[in-house]
Amino acid sequence: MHLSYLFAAFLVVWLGVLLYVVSLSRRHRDLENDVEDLRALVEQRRSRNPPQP
Amino acid sequence: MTPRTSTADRIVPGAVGLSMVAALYLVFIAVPNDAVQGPVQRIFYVHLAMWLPTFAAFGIVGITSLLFLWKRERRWDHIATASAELGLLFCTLGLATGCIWAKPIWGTWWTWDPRLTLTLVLWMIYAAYLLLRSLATDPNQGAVMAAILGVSGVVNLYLVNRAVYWWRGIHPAVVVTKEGESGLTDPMMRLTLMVCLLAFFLLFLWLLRLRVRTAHLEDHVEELRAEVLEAAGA
Repeated sequence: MHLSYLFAAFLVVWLGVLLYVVSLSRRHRDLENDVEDLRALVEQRRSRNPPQP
Repeated sequence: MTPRTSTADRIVPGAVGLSMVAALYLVFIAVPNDAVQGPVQRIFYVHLAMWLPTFAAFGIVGITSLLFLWKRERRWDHIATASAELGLLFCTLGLATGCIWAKPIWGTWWTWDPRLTLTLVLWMIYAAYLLLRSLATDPNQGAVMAAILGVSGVVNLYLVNRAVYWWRGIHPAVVVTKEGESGLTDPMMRLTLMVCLLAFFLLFLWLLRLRVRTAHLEDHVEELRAEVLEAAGA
């Protein structure tokens, strides 16, 4: 009946999509953390070295 | 940077979920078995559904790469990169499901049929596209070179589409002809195929939106890094 091939095909597709979504969400979360850290750093540097009038 | 949540952000994931559930129900329960191939033919619905996003994605890469080369606006480059990444994902899954279908039907995982070979070349072109971007020491130069590759890759996309007509191979040619003839004799088979195509195309659109947003965020991080250096030097 070759049912194992049918399930293997669907498993491959769903595993592939799942891995991509997980990696994308991790990338997105890391970038959002980077944005927060960098914003804090910009504020910190600006308060130490205020721009000249 | 808080991403804006639009109506599309609320509707598209729901539509993806619903159409996927419908596709699974149709493929595993509702659709009848093929008289010749048996249940293995059901792989075909998901296999074919991988190629609509693949062709759309690589087509988008071609158009947006051309726009980037012409206007040099970063937003086109973001869409091209996101689309290439997703095209490669769906192309990989299409090749994998094709191999899994071929083993019980053709008796081999792979054969050097013209369409299969050209599809493998297509996969390599866009893998090279992404490698070029990640390995380039100068991001701007990398983006320009990748854009040139992205535009030229469209030629291969056309060859993949025409391969079954121009060269003799064993890959099936068309599912439904212009005259309405089809290997899918049962109306439920046609409906299953349409629902699968819709489900995976919606998934592609949703992932493309998320990936483009990530690309914008990457740019924002670079801007902030430059601001940190500027603030340090002020």
